[in-house]
Amino acid sequence: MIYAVLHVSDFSLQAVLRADPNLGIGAAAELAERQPLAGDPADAGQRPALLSEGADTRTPGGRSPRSALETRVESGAVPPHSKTEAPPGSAGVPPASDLLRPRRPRSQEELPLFAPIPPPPSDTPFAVLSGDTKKAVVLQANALARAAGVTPGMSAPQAQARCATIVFCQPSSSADREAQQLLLACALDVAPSVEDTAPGICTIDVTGLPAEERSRHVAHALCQLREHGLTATGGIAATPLLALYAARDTTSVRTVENAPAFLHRLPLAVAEPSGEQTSILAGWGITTLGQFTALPKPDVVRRLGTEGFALWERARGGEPRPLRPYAPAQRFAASMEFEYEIETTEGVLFILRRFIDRLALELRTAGLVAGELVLGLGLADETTHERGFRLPEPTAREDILFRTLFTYLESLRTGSAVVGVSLRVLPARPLVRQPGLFETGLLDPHGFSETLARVTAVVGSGQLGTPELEDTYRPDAVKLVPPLPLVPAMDQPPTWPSTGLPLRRCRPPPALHVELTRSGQPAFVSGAQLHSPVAAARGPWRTSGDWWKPESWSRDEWDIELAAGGLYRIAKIGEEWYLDGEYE
Amino acid sequence: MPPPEKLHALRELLARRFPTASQSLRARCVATGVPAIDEAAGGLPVGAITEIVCAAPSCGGMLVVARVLELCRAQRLRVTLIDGSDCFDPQSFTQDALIHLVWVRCHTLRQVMQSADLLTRDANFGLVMIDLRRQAERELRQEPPTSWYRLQRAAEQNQLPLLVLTPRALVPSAQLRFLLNHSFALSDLDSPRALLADVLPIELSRQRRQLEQEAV
Repeated sequence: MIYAVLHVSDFSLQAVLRADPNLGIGAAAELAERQPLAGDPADAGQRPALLSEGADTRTPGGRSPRSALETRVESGAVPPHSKTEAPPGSAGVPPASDLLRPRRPRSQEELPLFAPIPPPPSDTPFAVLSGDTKKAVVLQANALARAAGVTPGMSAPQAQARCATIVFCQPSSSADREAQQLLLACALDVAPSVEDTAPGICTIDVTGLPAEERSRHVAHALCQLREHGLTATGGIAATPLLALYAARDTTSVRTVENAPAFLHRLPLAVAEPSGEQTSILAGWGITTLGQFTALPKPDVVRRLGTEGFALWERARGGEPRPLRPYAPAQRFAASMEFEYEIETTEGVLFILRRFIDRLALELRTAGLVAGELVLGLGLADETTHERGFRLPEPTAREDILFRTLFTYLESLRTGSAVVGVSLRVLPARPLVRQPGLFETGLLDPHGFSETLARVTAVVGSGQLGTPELEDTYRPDAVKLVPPLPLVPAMDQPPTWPSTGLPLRRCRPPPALHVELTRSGQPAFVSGAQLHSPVAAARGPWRTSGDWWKPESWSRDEWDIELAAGGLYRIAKIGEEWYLDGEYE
Repeated sequence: MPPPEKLHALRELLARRFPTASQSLRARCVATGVPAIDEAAGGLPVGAITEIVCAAPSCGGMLVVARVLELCRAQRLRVTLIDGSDCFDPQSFTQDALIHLVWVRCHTLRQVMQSADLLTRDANFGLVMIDLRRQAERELRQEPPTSWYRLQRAAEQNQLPLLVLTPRALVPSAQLRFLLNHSFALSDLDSPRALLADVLPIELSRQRRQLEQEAV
């Protein structure tokens, strides 16, 4: 058996950072400042709209988002994501409560929302705290923070004293879950037999892959993870534990072929001894796995007991074992609840992009595509905004799925800020068919759908579509329906071809003053648009309908030609005259 | 050498130097079903703007739209009508004649121009029509000419014919401009629509380039 392990170091920290809209948008903005956005020029100048009305100034409750965050700091709690800064003019380390400031996006003018989201800036020290109280301790820290002397177990002020620019985060179960799902989706892209070993660790049975292909597949999975905001390493070995050691001992992919030689130089800490074992073994002068495994096993058991035996086994790299298989997702969904209110689309789009990247990967792994998206926004007023999007053509392409949501969110206004977001994908089988030779379907179904959505955002809902005549004689009884994806062939030509000029209808019909002849025909019309004697007239054509309903209608219509030129249809409804339209 | 001859010589020189560019200038046209237009210019040039100025009431502007819709329906081309003042009347047509139409009901010139900008860039349409009649004269005057050049570039890039109906000549980037200034009479309402289109008095008032016409 050959195993591969994908390992995400500082998993909670990376999970939080990749799910943090502030950091992601800040990093994106930094990237945008360095290099212009390459892509659709039409998108370059767009600025995502505010989700909440008036959110740029004040929250519905009357407090600005900044002041809300600052209030939390004053109460002694550490905000979910905060950056420490030395106050101007202060030489020493200021109190944490005074220094913690929310990190906001620097520039939101040219966010590359359609570009892959870059990882958080690597030049910033980060640490995950165990909670939001003053006694919270550091759980994980990135390399930059560790280099500055920050170690797990330190309190926030201690960490801050060693690294003044450190940025604190809090662990998020939803971010962890999302990152773990991403890790498993990437692992399933390598081989079907995958084990969800631990947070940030998954083990893959790669026995079925050709030996020379294993490294390449694992490296591809690492690239996918990196694209989606997780930095991971990979190891390939004969046992799961050995593969994990290999993954922890490299920055990319490492294959262990000679296990004793590999283990010989590894430090003892790799096998995770307890504190007591570490001190005992240090007293024996043992610092590497090779030195420890050189001791006779019975002697180790006699002196260190069963715990020593387990450590000795771990130091040998463990044994091959069957994996606990992870069942791939049958339900393609993602959700996240924010610890603070989000009032602009950037934050929501950031998270949705993460969701879509992961769900698209899962769909591709399962051989499926997205047929429909269901977006849910949890609002601060405890309501939920939900909207479904039926895709014109099923697809698993991330950019198309994201554009569908982006176009909608661009013009969305909600009553209050967003506190949670969910996305559900209804999967479908990929559409495989041969188009007909004379078929005049849509060249770009997704582009068509997006164009219509954008035009709808301009002209308003219900103002765009294919006109469909209603089954009634009532004037102007027309509704708009979504355009057909395929223009069908023509029906048989009508028995009676259309006659006369089409009408240009006045909506709403303006009132007219009409003078009649003795025989009751229109002789002179005057109104806002017309003022002329009538040269010729035909009518009346009396129509009525819906007499059994409250909205019954009845009217007399006349076609008139004015002496000044022009053909018009006028109508008498009750005792009032109206201009229906102009024949043209 | 007089200026027209110089210009002709320059065009020949450019055509020799850049044969592919000159080939791209050969215009394809979409037939309209209105003989006066098809005979004068071959139809609506693809990748260019055609302006029809409806200077008189009941002059037949919507009749042209009806004929174009009919021919595009026969070719199963998808058509969009950006209706600047929401005055298109679907009840003047049969349901089958409208199945390929995307009707955009606008109420301001700003909506018209924004919609046109989006729809002209979509590859799924075979024709875009814009109806600007009944628009406020003040708004029309305030529309900068660059908007029309932008639309023309988009149509050219997407190889799309763009038909604009206006109350007066106002599209500076129009390649063709036709003028309708004769009103129909009441008795014409009894005539078949195709017959009315055959006798539609339409006058070609601008043709920017002598095109090698090739009806689609």
